[in-house]
Amino acid sequence: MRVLLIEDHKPLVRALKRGLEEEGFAVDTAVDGEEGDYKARSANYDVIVLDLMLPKKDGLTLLKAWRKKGLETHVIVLTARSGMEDKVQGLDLGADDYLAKPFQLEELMARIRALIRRGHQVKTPILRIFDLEIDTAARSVKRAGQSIHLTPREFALLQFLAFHRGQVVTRSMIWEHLYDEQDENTSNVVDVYIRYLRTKVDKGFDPPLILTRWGEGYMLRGE
Amino acid sequence: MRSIRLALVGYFLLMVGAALGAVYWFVNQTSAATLQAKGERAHKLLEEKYQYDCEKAKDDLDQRLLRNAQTLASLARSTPTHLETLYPLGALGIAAWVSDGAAVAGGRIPLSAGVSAEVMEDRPGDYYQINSLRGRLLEKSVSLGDAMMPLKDEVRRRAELLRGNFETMNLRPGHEIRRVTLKTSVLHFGRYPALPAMWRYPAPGTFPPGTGKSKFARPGGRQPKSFDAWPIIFIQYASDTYALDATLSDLKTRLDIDLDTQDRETAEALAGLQERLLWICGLAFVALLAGTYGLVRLGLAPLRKLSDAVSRVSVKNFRLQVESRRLPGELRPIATCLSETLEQLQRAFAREKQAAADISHELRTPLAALLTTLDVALRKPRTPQEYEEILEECRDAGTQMARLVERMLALARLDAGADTLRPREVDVIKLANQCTDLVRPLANARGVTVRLHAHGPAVLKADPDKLREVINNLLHNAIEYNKPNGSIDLAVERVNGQLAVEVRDTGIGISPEARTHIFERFFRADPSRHADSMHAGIGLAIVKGYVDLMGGTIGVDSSDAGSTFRLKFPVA
Repeated sequence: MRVLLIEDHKPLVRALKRGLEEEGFAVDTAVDGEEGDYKARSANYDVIVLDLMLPKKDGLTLLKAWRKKGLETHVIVLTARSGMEDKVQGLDLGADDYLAKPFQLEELMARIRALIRRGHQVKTPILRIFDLEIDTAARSVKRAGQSIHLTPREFALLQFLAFHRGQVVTRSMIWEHLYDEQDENTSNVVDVYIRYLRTKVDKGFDPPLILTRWGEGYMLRGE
Repeated sequence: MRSIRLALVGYFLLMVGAALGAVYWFVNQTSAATLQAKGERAHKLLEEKYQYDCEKAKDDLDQRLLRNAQTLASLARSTPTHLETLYPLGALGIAAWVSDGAAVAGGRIPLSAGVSAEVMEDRPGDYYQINSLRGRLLEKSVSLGDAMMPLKDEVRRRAELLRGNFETMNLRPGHEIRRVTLKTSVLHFGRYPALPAMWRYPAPGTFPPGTGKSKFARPGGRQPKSFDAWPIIFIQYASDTYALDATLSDLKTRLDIDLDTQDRETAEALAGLQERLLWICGLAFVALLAGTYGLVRLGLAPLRKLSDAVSRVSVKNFRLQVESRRLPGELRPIATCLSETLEQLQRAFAREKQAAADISHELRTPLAALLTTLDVALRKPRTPQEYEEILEECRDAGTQMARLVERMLALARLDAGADTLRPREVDVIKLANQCTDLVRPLANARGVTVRLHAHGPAVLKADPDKLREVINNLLHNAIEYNKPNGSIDLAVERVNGQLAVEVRDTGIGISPEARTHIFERFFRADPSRHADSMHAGIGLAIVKGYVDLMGGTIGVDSSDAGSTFRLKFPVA
């Protein structure tokens, strides 16, 4: 899941990036309005975390411009202002969620996850595919009642496949959503992670859920 | 003062009252004098009339007396005298009578009672008495009784014929009468027509008494040389003065009444005039009171409008809702001034609000960073290396917050006047050196060169901590707003007995409108820029506060090529 973090306070950016990455998010950062605007338009993010008070271009201006141009990406507004006006204005201008500083990291993450689910039209936090059970809230996976331990990145990959089950996802789609701008795109990184995931999810279970479509990509078995 | 309206009305009414009072007094005085004069004139006229009436009454009496006396005289002439005893004596007797007829003859002039009563018109207070030339009583009225009216010698001697001689006398003691004495000649002896014509007197009226000569002559005999030589009698006619006195007394009474009436009329006229004046003044006063009240109300209406507009000003709407051009000229400056003040207030208010938001942002963001860093750190076990990094992050965030809080406190202390100077001798050049050394790493990191220009000794009695804070602040700003590869020149020198400290940068400059507000707290030239707490609009406000506290001045010049902040401190 790829997140764009637009925030000018560098210590906060560092902490958030670290925290989100450790949760399996791919995090891009921007420290002012212009950079944020550019990045938001140039890549396909699942969620944008947007601070309102930014150098060069403030958050509300950005949001307004994006919504006007049809950018549908979910936006969580972060602000140090607690005033009702800002909140209402932010939501009116097309923000999907709102969080006042200082906040709990857990809360931010939960809201980001909720937005991602919403982006894939998933209502419940638990996804069931055959006997595979993915709890996107608790970030746990079970197959046939047995807990499976996944790394954050493996979990993110499985979740991504699950969000698109029955559909073929290409390597580049996977790449785009699971890796940030700083990761080197080596073609077999996705394949390596798919192999790890198969080892943990499919090995010893039937039927195999992760399918390969040669020349296209991968697919999680649908109903 | 409680109320302009009351005061104005009060003062105006005092004035009007005084004016009306003066008018009242003046008109009253004038008309009183006029009426007085008129009254006096009327008095005089009445008195004159009285005098005239009195004279006329007396004159009337005298005329009547004279008329009656003349009537008697003519009667006497036509009444035969008792001269018959003389008659036979012929010429001798006549001569004797002529020399003193009455004296010798002892005759009488017996006027019949009817005739005399007719003459006297039955007046009981009238008297007559007829005397001969020598003073012998010839006849007298019954009303005289035993009293006599003595004939005065001087009258007898000097009286002219038929000329009345008037006098007032006492008939008896306490009985005053007015009499007229008439001297007349007895011409007609009606009972003795046998007297030879040559002895006769000419018929009455043929010659006027005392004039001309006798027409007749006595041939061969003596003839009287003058009229006076003929028998002369004195007729006295008198009347009691009671009637006259009564008339005069009446007149007097009438005069007194008239005078009284006149006085009363004058007084009434004056009273009426005063009353009318009072009414006029009172009504004028009331009318003016109402008029003044209305006028003052009218005059104060714009003030009310202004006050209403002012009362409508609220925290949400600072605009003074009144059209300045619809106010009178006197209020326009106030309204304009008020509008400007309100605008300033609104700006200050907005800035303050913005500043509160900024400060909360500045505090909350590092706080959020701190908490997030700690949250992340606590999610799983870390290596010592990682913990160290996290702690350093935390310390940085804490330091930043501490600095912001420190600045806020500094500003609050300045506001409260609780900041005290601890002045001592400061080598400003040394201090400037320390400051440049302190900021140089930051400047170098931004590619900015910092140079110090110091001329001569520059020792100042000042608070070194505050001075350092001021210079550091200016240097930080100069770095912050500089262009890449720019430079900063810090100059310290003595000019005209003042110590000048100049910080010149090659930065982006400050716009002229921003320059006027740059030292106001929470003012930010670029509202969207807030990289750290330096930009909350506090730094320069503190600088200005400190410089003012130290008795110095601060000024700024700016252009596209950069800005220059110039401090000047008096050298004691």
